[in-house]
Amino acid sequence: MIRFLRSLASLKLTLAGMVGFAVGVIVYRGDISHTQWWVAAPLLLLAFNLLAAIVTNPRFRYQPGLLLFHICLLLIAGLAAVDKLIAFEGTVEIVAGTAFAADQVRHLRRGPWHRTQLHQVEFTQGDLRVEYVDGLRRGRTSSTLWLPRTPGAIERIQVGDKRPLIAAGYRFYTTSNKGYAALLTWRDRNGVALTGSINFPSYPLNDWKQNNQWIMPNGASLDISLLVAPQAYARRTAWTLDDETTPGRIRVRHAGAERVLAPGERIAIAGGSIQFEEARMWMGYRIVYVPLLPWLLVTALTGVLGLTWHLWGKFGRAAPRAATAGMEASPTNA
Amino acid sequence: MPEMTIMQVTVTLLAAGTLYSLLGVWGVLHHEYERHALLLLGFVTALLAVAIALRWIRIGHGPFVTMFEILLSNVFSIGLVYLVAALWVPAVRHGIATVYCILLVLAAWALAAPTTETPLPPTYHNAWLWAHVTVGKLFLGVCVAAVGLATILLLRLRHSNWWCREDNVVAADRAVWRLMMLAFVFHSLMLIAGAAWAQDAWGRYWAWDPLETWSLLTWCALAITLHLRVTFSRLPQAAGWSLVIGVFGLAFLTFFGVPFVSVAPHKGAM
Repeated sequence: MIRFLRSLASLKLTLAGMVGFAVGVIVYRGDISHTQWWVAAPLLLLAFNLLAAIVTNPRFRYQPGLLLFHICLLLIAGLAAVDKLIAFEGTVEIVAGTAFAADQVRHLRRGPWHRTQLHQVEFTQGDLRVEYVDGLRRGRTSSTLWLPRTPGAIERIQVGDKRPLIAAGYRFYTTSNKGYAALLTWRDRNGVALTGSINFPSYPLNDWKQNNQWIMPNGASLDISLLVAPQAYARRTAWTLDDETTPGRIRVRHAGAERVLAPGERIAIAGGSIQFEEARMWMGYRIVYVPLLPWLLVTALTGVLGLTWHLWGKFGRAAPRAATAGMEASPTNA
Repeated sequence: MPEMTIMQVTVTLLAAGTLYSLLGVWGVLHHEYERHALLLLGFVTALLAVAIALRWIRIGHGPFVTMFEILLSNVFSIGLVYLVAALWVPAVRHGIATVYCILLVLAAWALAAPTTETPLPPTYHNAWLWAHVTVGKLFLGVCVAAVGLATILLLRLRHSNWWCREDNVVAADRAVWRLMMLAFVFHSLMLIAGAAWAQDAWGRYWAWDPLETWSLLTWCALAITLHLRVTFSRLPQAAGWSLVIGVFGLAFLTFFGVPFVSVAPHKGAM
């Protein structure tokens, strides 16, 4: 057994594992069409190689800084693996004045061990403000959120750019994906009203195609366009995207006819009517669940601290000048 | 634009310094050429500090965004780190000719780069960015100091009349490896700070974007090089020095190649 462990602890195997890992990184590069085993297999080999070295190599154990660094590498690999299993990543678009709904979240990545708690998250989207410093160069993003606290109390918080909303362990980051939405009310012949919103493509990125289709409750579809006035960015000056710049009218096309609606106006359509309430802004959020993040950071920093300790112990004691004293007095090539 | 004028002066001085130190290495000059070349480098670094300060005051943010700014700040930081290393470890001074060559390439490139003033993206307003950039520059500076020495040591194999005493080579070789170990520490810190910044800026600490992937490969190459030295005690010195130069080549590509051909967020795209 010891002989096997000694073979497993070989530094040559370490090198093979590291070269394998580098090759795996080149092949994988986050491309999901390749299996993660390109990266995971060399890491597993390195992990066993390191564990065997810790058990069989007393010199390794007597260098605490170096040992700490390598143990931290092992822990980072373990934490990253667990992170893959429990992590969650998704996106959601929320219209101003409406509440977050977990069933609207689009799942991008969900670890097999992830138990969703998104239904515990409660907040309502408030005002949005995106500053543009020069034409289409985006500056700061600010999004107001209303969070229910103690019964009856609501807290107002501001998120944006580097500041996410953290709720039930999830982090909600604002993104560059944002735009306008039309709030519409459908009334059937019996007067039963149903209000919903339709989001237009991200603005100003897609300012040339601010249209979308709405499938009415009776199954018919409506083509709706937002009538956007030329914005300040066309002049390449600083401007702000917020509620005040929200356009006021939409164009509705149905069955070959089209009509422009201002807020509060309605058109009759077979089986009922559509009323345009108002245009609002929506914000796209990126949702991530990475509960091990602080542990990864602490472990990584501890590892580097261990390495620094090791190097300091190895080289710090010998003054570099003394080590090279012979050079300064030596003849040169002159 | 004053910093452009300073950059032109810098390139001229760096070209003169390169020529002077190459003549020194060739054995044409008095052995004190290293001291003179260091003094000139100190002057150039001070000039670059003025250029960075002037631009910073005018546009309101540090040299983090455009290619011109990144090259300008790197010529400054590499020069400064090299000067400190040369004062701390005298053996490092022997590599000054290579360092001048590298700085000249970067400075000439900066002259060719557009000097457009770009506002700081919102994701750059972050303390982790400062940590990431600082340790990144320390890594590159230390790496350049090591590669300068490794190149001269390799050339010495062909021209053995340089540095006649063998203990010069022993001390220089030792300095190369110590600097590479220090570079490994700084590179590790750069990856950590970069991941923390990415988490704040884009909501993910690692996304395999081209710059992240290539910096991880540089870290691997550095780790492999250091392990090779430990594993094979009879590793020929020339092979070790060549590996050091190879690691620097990879780091150079990562720092100055990938960010400008990739459309990943690292480019600062908004």
